[in-house]
Amino acid sequence: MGLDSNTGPASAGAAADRVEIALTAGTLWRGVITLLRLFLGAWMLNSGYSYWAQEFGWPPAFPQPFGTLPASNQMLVTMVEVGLFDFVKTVEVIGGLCLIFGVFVPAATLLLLPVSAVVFYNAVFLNLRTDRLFSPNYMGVSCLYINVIVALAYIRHYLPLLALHSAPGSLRDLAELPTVLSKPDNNPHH
Amino acid sequence: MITASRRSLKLLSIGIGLLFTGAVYYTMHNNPRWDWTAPGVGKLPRDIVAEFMDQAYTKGQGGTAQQSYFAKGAFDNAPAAKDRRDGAPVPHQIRQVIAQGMTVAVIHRIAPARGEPGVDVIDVFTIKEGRIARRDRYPTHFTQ
Repeated sequence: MGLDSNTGPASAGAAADRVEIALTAGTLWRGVITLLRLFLGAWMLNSGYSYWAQEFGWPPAFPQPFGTLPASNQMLVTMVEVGLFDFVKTVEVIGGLCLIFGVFVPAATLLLLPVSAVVFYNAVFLNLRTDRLFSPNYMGVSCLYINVIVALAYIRHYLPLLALHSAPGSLRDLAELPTVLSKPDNNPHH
Repeated sequence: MITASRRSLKLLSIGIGLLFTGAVYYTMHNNPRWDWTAPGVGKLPRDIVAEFMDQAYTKGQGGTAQQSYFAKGAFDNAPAAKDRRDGAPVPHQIRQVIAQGMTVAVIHRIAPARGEPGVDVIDVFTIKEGRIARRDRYPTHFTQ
């Protein structure tokens, strides 16, 4: 993808809005990542919504599953009873909406990663569904796979977190937030 | 080479995302693995047992309660218990409820009712798919 070149202030905004899409491997990669991001968002939104829907008496997509084997039963029931699921399901709704609407995508992907990891742990280590470890339509495992793939696609946003040497700043750094929020997508590969 | 506006692509992706959301909702909601008729579907095991006991003891509607709350073919070692028959309310005092996973143990004193003597029991319920799949009743005697 690349920006069109154009002249004149009136057409500058319109030109900046235009992108050229070439049928290349890069375009295909971004298309696949976009679809995976949207599907992960859709799944998370349904999962989070279903929990809260039952709390408020609305029709859920599916009833809250409590696992098949005893260890999974115990973990899921306990998480609901102690209120941890309120937090998890809120994260799913917020993260899901971000992925669907394409806002704060790197942060939302990272936010959802621990949720996906626990879903995977529950499916594979507690419910022992190793038979479906590579089953793409089993979201117990696919959820984590998709989450990791999407996170890898946005890795340039996480690389600064991996600074080997760092020094603390101050809360005054938050003043840079408006700049960060208004920053255009500057993917050098576009 | 195709030229498109970023705004259009953004709207298209949101549209696809919403379409996926609807598709996931529809597929999951109509998945035959859910028994939407189960009174305790999606509820915590301790809440399912509490609801059953409220209907069977407090309201005296054990016959009705057991039809909806007990799964077909559920094991019960006390099938003739008062909480599985309709009649006058059966007063009972719950001493303790212990829940772990899908198992709920209710330690309670059932008062004399319907011409039958009172009894102290430990009822251990196993919940599956929103219904009681098993009930083991252990008669006991509380010293206080």
